[in-house]
Amino acid sequence: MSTWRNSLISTYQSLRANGPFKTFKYLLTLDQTRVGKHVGTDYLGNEYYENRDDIVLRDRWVLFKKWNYDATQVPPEWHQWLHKITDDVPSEKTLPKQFFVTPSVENVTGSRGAFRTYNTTTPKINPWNGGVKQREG
Amino acid sequence: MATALRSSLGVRAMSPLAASSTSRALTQFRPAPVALASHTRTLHRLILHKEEGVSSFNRDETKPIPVNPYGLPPALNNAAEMALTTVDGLINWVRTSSIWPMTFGLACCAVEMMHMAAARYDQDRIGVIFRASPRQSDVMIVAGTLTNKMAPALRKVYDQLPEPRWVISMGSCANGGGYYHYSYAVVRGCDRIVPVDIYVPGCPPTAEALLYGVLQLQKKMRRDRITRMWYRK
Repeated sequence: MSTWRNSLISTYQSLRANGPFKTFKYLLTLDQTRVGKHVGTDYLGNEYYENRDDIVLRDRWVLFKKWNYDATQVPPEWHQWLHKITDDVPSEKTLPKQFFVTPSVENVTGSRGAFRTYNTTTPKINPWNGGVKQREG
Repeated sequence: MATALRSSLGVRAMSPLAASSTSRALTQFRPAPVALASHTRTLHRLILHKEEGVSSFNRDETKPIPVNPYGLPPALNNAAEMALTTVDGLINWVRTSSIWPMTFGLACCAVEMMHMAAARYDQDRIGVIFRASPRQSDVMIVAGTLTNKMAPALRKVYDQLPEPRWVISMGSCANGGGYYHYSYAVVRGCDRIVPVDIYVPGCPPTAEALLYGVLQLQKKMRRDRITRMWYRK
């Protein structure tokens, strides 16, 4: 009973605060509607939210840009905010970018960009060309 | 077609013998040996790409290799393929949202597997429910060291799983022997016994890592083209 009442209230709150489209996205991706303060957006377009009144360690969450979302789409600087390693919202001031830092890449396993091993030596096995040598004479 | 593909990839020209009409007629009936003949990556030259960074693989001049692993003909009826795409999406949605794993807990990885089932990581919310019988399961999670003595039992349980079935290899020991790689009693990786879909690294992997592996398996299931493949065949 109380679960139904709570989810009805939170859905109503989310409809008021987030609008119907984002509420629908919440239900599809997070399985619950949530209302929080929009803290920031990373360069991939993922949105980060915080609600300090929620359960401890569940008060920060991310709404992914892509529908085919994956945890590795969160960049490292936002990962540390999301997992409460720091309270600082990542920016140029709080997290200066070192010269050796490259942009993070999501997990590309199973896609065309996935790593494939390759060989630099002459292959010991060659495909059969299937020709028939002509008889001489 | 194979000859044209090779020459476009800049691979060394084939011998005149192989280019004869007899061999071309023969080669049409088997898939082109693209994988062996198209190594254009070398360590001798490093190429700087704008977006991809430094690599030994020149993405500007090399076209992506056409993927046709089963040698299937091109699509005949696009409307039918479009309809079957929706059917595939429906089947995959059903499959991904009720993954029932067979627990094959062999060692300490099984403890982390139990943590995935417990309240914090809560596998039930993505439809993962452990089953005790292989005949009711879709996925087998091989969690722990696979010994020679256990290997026939593992294979028997795998054979009892109904199709479609998937295997998640969990932890270093199941992936490749791990700590016990040089033991005479241990199988060096459960992929010597059963075909593995997802390898989860770690010793033991955290429950979070295993859950991520399950999510990767969901992605793999979504890529499955069941009815489209049936239609094309």
